[in-house]
Amino acid sequence: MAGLLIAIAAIGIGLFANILAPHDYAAVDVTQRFLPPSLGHPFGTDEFGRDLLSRVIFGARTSLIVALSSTLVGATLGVVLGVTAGYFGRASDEAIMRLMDIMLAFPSIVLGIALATVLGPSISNLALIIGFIQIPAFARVARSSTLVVKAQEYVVAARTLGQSNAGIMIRHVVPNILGPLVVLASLTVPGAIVTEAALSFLGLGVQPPTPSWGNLVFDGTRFIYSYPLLVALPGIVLSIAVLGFNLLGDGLRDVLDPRSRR
Amino acid sequence: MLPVSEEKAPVRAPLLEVRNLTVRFPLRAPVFARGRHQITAVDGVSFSIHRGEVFALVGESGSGKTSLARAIVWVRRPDGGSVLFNGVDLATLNGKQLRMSRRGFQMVFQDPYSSLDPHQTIGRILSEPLRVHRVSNVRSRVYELLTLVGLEPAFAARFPHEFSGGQLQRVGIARALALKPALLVCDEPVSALDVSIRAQVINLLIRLQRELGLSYLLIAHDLGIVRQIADVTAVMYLGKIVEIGTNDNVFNHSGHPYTVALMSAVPVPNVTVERNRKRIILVGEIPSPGVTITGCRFHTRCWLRTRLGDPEICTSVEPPLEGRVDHSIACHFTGEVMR
Repeated sequence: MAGLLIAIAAIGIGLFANILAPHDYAAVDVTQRFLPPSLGHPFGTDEFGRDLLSRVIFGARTSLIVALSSTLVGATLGVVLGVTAGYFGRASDEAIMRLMDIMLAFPSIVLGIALATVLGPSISNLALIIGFIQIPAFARVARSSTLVVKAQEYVVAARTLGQSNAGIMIRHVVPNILGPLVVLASLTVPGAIVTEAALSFLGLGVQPPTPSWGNLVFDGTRFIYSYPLLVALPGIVLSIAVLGFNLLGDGLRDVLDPRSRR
Repeated sequence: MLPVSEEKAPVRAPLLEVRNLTVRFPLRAPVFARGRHQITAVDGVSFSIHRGEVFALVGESGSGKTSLARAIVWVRRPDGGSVLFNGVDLATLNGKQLRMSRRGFQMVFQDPYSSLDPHQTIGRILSEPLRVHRVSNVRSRVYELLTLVGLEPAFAARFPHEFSGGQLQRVGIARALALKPALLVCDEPVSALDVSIRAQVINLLIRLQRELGLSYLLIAHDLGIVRQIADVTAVMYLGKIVEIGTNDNVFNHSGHPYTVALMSAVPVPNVTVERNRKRIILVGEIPSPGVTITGCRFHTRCWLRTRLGDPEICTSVEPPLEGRVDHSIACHFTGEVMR
């Protein structure tokens, strides 16, 4: 429940950023640099005199768009590949899973940099790239869960009824492996936020002056000894959001299991 | 709603005919040795089931009963032999024809907890066969099926975990009946249930068989149940049928030492008879099907062989299944068994 509230709050902040933010996130005022928190600037200001609260609020929008859409991309493709590999086994299993191993062999940041260089920096490309990096994780979990479900007698039963392979995968396999996948997705969202931050920091992701939680934290680290609040405040917000998504994942797993339903 | 092949089949053809069916499983083996290591779970089994007949297959765990059942309902292609349903070889059918043919034979599974998808309501489970085969009036048909197996139509909205094993097995039976099949393959339909519930489910199966004129292939290791409801009984040992015949012949005139040993394990509900009953305790476990046994496959545990002083033929020649139409036995010394 707490997770759901935090996640809804985070998404709400992202959606209504332009209403909620007290200032323009890009308005520079060099006379107002490094201000401590005050009524006018509840989170203070950064090295260009921009209102930190407004930047955090708009950062929610960017970070969540990238994190959620990339997880959607990664989960969809990963589940399709993983279920196919697990269900059909043999050659298709070998082919798909070795491909996943190859993808996993590259450090995600290196893979991300390579792809971002080719595709060019933009928020939608960033979502695609991060989603692509996540495919192997989803494929592995989907495959191993599929192997468990495939051995269940209800799959054999569906086959004796004349149900097609596609029908069995959609009606029986996917609903029964959703639990672990939802948990994985909730764990992937914070990872995606961090990857986004790393790529943005390298200039391959979100371009300044557009804020994201990741580049706020990264930019702030330059002043971590003199003005630690520049790291701490976006960092705390980021942590709360991450915690929220994790709790949400736990809650969803329980809801998706009909045995725990009352 | 009889299967499509009905008109084409010869009048006297059995409903189901199994010819020389073989099922093998590869063992996990190093790449170079692949293909050589395999287990023969079902080793050339033949029999037929006629319309309205209850055919029982008995044998201990590991004798290949479930592998045989799965090959018959064509969820696992056999490695040899053929399955003919209404005179049509299932191997010759294309995907669409096979799907049509499946309406004629359905399966009831051993474990009702794992044979029903936990994420689907009873209603969805029962409507799956109807939707796959584009049967109309799904909702009323689901209610009809629930009533048929003695459950309330209101159960359609609930999930499997809300029911007891006996109720779930009724759902499993209802699902198998959804397409109005002529043959029901029941793989140990009650062995996963509480003893108190078994009789109810067996009685349900008997009632449905009479009301709907069904044929059963009943796989069981509870001989009491088989004796009660089967017309024909086959005894399986290590992938082969060692004795087959009418129920009376197999139970009252057992001709194979293995059958005799199985029968001697059934308790008799009479104190004096039970106390004086002679029991034959088989030594050891059923051998692993991966091990090649020469001669009679039962010789390693045969009490008769010991009594006859280890005749050489038992370890060198495999006895063929032979005898009359209503009683065949695979034993070199079946004459000795009767005495």
